Amino acid sequence: MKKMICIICPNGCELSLEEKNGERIVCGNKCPKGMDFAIKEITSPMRTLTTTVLTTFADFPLLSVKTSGEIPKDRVFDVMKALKSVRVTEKLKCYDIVVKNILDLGIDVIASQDIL
Amino acid sequence: MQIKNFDVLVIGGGPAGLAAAISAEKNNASVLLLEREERLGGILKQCIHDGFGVVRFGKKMAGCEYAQVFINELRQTPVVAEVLSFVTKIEKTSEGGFYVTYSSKDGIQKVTANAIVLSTGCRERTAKQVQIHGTRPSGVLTAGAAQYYTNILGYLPGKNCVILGSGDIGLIMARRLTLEGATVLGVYEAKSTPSGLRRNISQCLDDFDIPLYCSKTVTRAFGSSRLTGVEVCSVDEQMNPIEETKEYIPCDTLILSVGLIPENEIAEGLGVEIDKRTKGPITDNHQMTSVNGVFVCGNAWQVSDLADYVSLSGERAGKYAAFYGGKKEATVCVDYEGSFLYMVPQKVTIDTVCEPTAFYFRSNKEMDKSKFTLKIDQKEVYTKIYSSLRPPEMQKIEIDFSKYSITPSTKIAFTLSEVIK
Repeated sequence: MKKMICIICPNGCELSLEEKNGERIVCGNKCPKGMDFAIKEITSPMRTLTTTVLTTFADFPLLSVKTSGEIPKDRVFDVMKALKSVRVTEKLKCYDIVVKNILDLGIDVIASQDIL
Repeated sequence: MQIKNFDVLVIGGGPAGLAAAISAEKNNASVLLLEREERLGGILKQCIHDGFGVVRFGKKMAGCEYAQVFINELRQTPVVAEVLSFVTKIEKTSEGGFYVTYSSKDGIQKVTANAIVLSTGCRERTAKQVQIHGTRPSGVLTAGAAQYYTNILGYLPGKNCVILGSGDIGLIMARRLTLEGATVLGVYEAKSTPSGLRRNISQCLDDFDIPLYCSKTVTRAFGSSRLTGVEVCSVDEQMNPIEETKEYIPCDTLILSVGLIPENEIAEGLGVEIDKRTKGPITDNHQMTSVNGVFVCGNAWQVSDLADYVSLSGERAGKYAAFYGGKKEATVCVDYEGSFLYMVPQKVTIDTVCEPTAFYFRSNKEMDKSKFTLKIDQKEVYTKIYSSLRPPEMQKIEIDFSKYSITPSTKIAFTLSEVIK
């Protein structure tokens, strides 16, 4: 029996997952998303990553970014390392693509704010 | 020199103020929004992590992304938004309005307003207020300051960090610092249970194997120019340090996440009554304070867990500030009995309650199955059962008072108690 906290919404439901006769039974979720989360969490945990990248603008040195979708939890530090070399040179808007298909994961890194 | 008049003046351009300004303008008020920083967005500018907007927009957004929605919407309205503007004085006029002085990059400015919305947010508690003895080296910062360095300026505050306080800001910074290459040695929490949201304990600490130590606090800092270590100590139920458990932890950074205090100097200067429990102004269900024409919303009203609720309170304050015609509405005080840490609003208006009122509360302890009731003149008219309640998790509940006839002598009481099995 595995216990975990669902991270999808502020409720933070305490989930428990039990494997019985090849079937996975999830308890504790207040909504169906929790069940999907629990199963994913024990098979291939995923996370969204939010971080910053450097710009060339002296009055706006960092641009906040996020992954456009979830990436494998064990690749988070690889993505952090890959973003170290990025330099944003244009006044991007929220949701503009900063890095397309980061590390071939099928996910983009996008801006999460406007650069003024 | 002609002094401009606005129907509504909003002080503070974070999520609460942005929502208030947009809402007031929607309700036909002329609006001036004053923000003391260089950019709008308030604290959300540095909240690059996600989890915002789940309630309001149905998706997980970064804090700055959430603020951007409101900033963009505000730009489409005729609201006058001035940055680098700091309110220095507010005086009541004989006509029942307000005469406001503020400092801006163009010098001292004066305006008049019929109503004021205070969306001044909150500030962090510091080391002084949690009695950390020893020397005063650099390397001791509040979590918000550390977040500002990391996310706005691009400086890593330190390499080996100890975090005091398991509130959400501390947990978020534990993850952020780790992602940027620092080592977080541990998060220490003086209470016996963690303060932050459960999902943050999971995705900020468990994900990175960062240990959480409860019933422990930091009692001393060491180092001359830079922090070299801290002394941690177990505490008893009254949170007094237990001498024999002292332990030295070498580190170069101490991050303090020990609470937020609503910023209400302007409110106090206007004579607004403050609730000792929330540290914010007492309000009725229109977000109006004890001073006619002064409204409050956001973290200055009560420290919220969710920006979504902050926006709701801002919308409400903006709307009623726009409606405000100078008259004081009759209100009834709301009593709350039982295991409440606090509940807001503390008053309900009598004649204009024609829409559901949102109440927010926190339990004063960890509770299992609990019963929440509304009593009108001692009669139980509404009941809700919660499976569990924790003080860090603010609850929102909507009550439609139009079903009950409220008079100035009606007794309105909420009760909260654990259900005994």
